[in-house]
Amino acid sequence: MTSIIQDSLAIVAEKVRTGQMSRRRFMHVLAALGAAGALPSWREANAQTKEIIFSMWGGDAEEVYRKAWGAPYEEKAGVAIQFDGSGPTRGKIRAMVESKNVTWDVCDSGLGTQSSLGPEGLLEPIDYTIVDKNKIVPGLAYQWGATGYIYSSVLTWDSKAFGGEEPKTWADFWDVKRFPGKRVVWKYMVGVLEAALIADGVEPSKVYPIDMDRALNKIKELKEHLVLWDNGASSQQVFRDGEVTMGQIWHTRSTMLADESQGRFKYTFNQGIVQPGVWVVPKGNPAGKAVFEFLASMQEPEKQLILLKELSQGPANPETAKLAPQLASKNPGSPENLAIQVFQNEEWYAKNHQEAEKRFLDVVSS
Amino acid sequence: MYVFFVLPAALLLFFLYLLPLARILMISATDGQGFVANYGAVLTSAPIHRMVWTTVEICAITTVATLLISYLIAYVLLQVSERTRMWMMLCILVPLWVSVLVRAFAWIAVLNNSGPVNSLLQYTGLTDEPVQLVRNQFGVMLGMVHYMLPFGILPLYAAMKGIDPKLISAARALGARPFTAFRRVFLPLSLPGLYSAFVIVFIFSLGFYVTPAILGGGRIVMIAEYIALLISQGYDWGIAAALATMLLSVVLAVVFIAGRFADWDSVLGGSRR
Amino acid sequence: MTLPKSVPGNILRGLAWAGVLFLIAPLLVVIPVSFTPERYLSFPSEALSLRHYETLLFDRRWSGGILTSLLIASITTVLSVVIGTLCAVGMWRIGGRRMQLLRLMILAPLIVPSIVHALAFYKSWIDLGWLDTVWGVIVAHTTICVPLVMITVSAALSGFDHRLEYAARSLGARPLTVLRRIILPNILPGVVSGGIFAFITSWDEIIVILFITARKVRTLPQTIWSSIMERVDPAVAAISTVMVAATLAAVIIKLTLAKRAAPQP
Repeated sequence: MTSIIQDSLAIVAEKVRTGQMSRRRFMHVLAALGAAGALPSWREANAQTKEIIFSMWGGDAEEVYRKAWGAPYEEKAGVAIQFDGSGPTRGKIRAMVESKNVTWDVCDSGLGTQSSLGPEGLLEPIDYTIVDKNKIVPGLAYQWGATGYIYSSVLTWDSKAFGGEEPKTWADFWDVKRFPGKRVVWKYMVGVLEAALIADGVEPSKVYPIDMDRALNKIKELKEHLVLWDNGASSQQVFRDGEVTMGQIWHTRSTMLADESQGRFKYTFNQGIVQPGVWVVPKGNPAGKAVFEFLASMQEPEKQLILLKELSQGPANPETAKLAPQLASKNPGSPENLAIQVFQNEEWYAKNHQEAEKRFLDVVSS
Repeated sequence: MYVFFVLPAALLLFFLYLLPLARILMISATDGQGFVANYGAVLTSAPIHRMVWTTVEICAITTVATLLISYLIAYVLLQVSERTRMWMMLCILVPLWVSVLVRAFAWIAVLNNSGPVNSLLQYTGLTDEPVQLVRNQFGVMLGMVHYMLPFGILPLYAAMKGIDPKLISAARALGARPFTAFRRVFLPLSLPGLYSAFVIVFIFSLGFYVTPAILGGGRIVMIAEYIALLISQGYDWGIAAALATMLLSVVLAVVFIAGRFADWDSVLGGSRR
Repeated sequence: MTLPKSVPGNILRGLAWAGVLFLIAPLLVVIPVSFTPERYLSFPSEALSLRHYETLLFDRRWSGGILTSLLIASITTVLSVVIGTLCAVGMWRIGGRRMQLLRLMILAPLIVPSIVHALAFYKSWIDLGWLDTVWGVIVAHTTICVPLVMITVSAALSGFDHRLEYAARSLGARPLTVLRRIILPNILPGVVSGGIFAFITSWDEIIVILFITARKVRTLPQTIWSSIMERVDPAVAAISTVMVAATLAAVIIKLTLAKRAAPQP
């Protein structure tokens, strides 16, 4: 399982490789990401801390993270930022905390992790006296996780496949007569249950709490037409290969598909499932409280703006969008786009994520 | 003095293999809500039942298909000329030594929507649309039979080579028809080889991870991949360990029960070298 | 008994050939795919391209993976050949029922499903701090490879004449000298094939690797695995072609040598 952040950085790296983005521009993005917002208490808090371990998903992103966040913070705060690219799956965080052998300070993660591991006491609560709640969209500052960016699982389709007709809703997604062909959805379920309920006639605003039986029954209807994607790259590839005509994939990948195909592949935020990218801190992390200073260093709107420009990644800091109103249509977190989407419900996922994922796996694999 | 020769292997295997393995058995009894809860969950959960059933079904079909084809090939291998046997052996040994990942990938290249099989089907007009050949049960079984065949052929061939051809000639001389001679004399004599091929193919298929994971595309989940998913998604070491323990018990049971009838000497002595 | 040159005999032969071709054909399909100029899996239609072979050489993911795998497989081979050969010789000399239990324990990794010992290594390597280290992989692979060496060396020893060893001992040679001067030269073929088994097993191993490594240690199978999962990279076809060609060459050499050494009746 890859995270959205790793995926975003993979996108930038690929743009550089394929010449869509110049190296200079690339470095500019990174520099902007890395320049930290200084806080008064900074140096004091870090007086004892020598290093912070940032667990992320590796690949090309690791180099990028180091230049973006690691190096500038090292310079400013005198704390070394080490990256561990081994991927903070829920399983690994759990194993580490339970064996009291925690080597990570911050993990690049999602709502599912904060909601399932947090209540079990496996994560440190975020210290909002250091991390600034006002720099996070209201409602997305969670007890055990600080939102750093926003992404959405959106309806994406091949416009050549349906003779001019265009799917707009999840009901269309389930309509295999009008829109023939295979559909691709995420192997790890998030977003699919919501789409199933909306397709079954539930008002988007009334999706939560999810009626799991109803959603899974609806998914069974579509089962023969489903293909599963595992990581961002594969979700794009099945479209390029023509293996699917429609899919529910991360919007960062949808925008890439749309750009590279000159509009052959299209997507809509309508009824998209918006999710926060969340940083969590494992219980008993080696650097202790000092890690929150590092988190606070990544909240500046100027830096998030560049993420939005280059990756269409939705900024968590509401100030950011004001800097570039012309980008609102690409931002999953803009008021217009949020109004037509469903926001992933923290409370429901906290209670039901693991059970739901098992039952989803059972349905699609049997 | 010779004890010191044995010591490194004994210590290595004991402390860094058996102990870690024993810990997994322990975890299945102690993790989460304990032994009863973990094994209870495995025994009562409908999703796990379905997954186990998928595993058993695929494993059974794969084993039977592999043994049938292997028996045929091994039998023919015994009859053909030296030259032909060399060529056939080449085609059997190369896949045996090629990485399992490469072999699974090769099937994707062959069976995907724009691959040669689908192109042929469309060219000959048998279908208009590409047929889904991978990322389903068919693809998984094809890939598994392909992987297992050398492990079926070689022990069978080794065992058959040890059968005295004079016995068959004698049966024929006494008036048995060819098929009767085969059924009454050759087949019973080849059974130990069949048992060893069965044990090898069955236990490999049961715990198979790579081929189902790649050719099943997440749609066909067998026990090994299910255990891996339980761990990486962080649910439950207890249930994962309980499943692993049960898998291990079944494998050991098969080895000890069916293995008694098998002809290990010809397998270990002749086939894989 | 030979197959009659009759219709049923021909059908059997035909079916067997079909089965044998089923084994080899898919491996040959990857060869043309590896020369495609496209970035996705396809057969080259006009021009052939070597770009995917360049990727193997110059992309760090691939070249690094190949080097890491070579390193791990080499050290694993040396360790398991030394440990496995010593053990096989020791058990052969000591003999008796006591050794049966030990033998069973040492052969366990051959029987236990990979997913089960992958789980076991993962859990224990966390506590030992060996996750995602080259050392951790080498230790895990060595435990899996020792039994392979044991088997081939034991097979070679079973054809070795005890009296040679007794003679040397009675003339006053110490066990290590006996091992080096008398036993080893005689069982060398078994040791070598055990080493080849060990090398290939470690080189190809993926399941344990998926659990105990992450990004710091990236072996070739891991790169192949993630490329297949991302479904993008025809470089997998290129590395597959290389591996199939190498195997083909090795098997041909082996078959030719075997034919020369011992002409079958």
